[in-house]
Amino acid sequence: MIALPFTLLLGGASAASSRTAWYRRRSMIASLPDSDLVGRIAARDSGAAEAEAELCRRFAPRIRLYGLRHLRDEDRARDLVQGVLLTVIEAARAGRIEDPARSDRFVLGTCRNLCARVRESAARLQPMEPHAPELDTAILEPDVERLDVTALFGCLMQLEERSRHVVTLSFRDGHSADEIAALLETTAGNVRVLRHRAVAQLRRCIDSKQERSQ
Amino acid sequence: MTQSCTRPLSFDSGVAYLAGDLAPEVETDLEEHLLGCGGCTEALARISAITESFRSMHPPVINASRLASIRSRGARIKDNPLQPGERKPVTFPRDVDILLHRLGGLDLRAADRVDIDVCVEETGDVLYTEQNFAFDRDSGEVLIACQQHFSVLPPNIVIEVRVTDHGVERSSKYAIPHRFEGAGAQ
Repeated sequence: MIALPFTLLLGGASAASSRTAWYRRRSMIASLPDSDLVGRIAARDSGAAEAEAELCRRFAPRIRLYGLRHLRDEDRARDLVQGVLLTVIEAARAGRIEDPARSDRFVLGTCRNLCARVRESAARLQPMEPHAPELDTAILEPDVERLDVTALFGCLMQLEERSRHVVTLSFRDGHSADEIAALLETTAGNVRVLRHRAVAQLRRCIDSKQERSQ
Repeated sequence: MTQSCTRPLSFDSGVAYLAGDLAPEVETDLEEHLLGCGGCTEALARISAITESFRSMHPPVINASRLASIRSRGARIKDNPLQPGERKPVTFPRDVDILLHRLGGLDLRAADRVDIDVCVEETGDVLYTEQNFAFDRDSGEVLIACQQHFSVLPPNIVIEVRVTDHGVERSSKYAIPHRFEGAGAQ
């Protein structure tokens, strides 16, 4: 999320016009390809700060998901988002991203390196290194859908017992398909089918609860 | 920048990715795509909202080492000791994460296995069964981690603990009518 400049939060006709201009500009920045954003950041001109904010807004959710998969912890995934974005912005400012059109590969490489470092040290990342670039920390926070766990549990209890077991053993307890197959005396292939069907059912159930509550 | 995706993420691939269940080369390929695709990231985020919520849940039956691990992560835990045959109404406070039912009065020293059934008091319907779980032999108790989201279950429950010792099964029952302080807000 990008913070709206304080002056634009004030009322009045001129503020409304400023808001419109701000949203137009924001929309224009959001339509730029990664390479243009990296170019603006490297140029360090008046549009650099907005380009940095857009690059962060764009990549923060992607890095978080990578972190969830590899670090299996929301806090560590958020640390990864901060660590990667600070590294990427620092590199962009210094003109060290060799192929700006493939900035996503640079981000992925940074994700891999930082994740490997976290796993080696078995510790949380220290995102704010002494040489880290100055950035508004609000733009480093990805927007995340927060589910009501009680509502999700209600949906879970509507599943068949076997599906319930598969999904909780997978995501609550972190068991692999092979391990679950052995526990439930079935095949790993069957576990995978039950697992993705169960998650799809839960998603539909949650969506329907959310629609009803609106 | 929003671009149309030429290879949208399938739901089952997203679930398999978050479960860590893709072959390494498939996973690498998928990650290269995801880092460059806002649309697929949004689709995966919708799946991860479900799968990640499970990480905040705990198994209903826990042992002492799991309890220590939960405590170390700052969970707010309130003890509720019970004896066999007891019927003890409880209120689950709003500011507590786990109401820990300590089902005591059990001799587990020579137990071969321990199973539990969680039933509805009025109907006897079984809500949950856990068989042959890891228990603390010298503790004389089984630990049940009752959690806020259990408020969707029927309030009056009976937990039956069955201890098998040299082929002989002994059963103990604990009746626990629940009231959840925060349930009205759910």
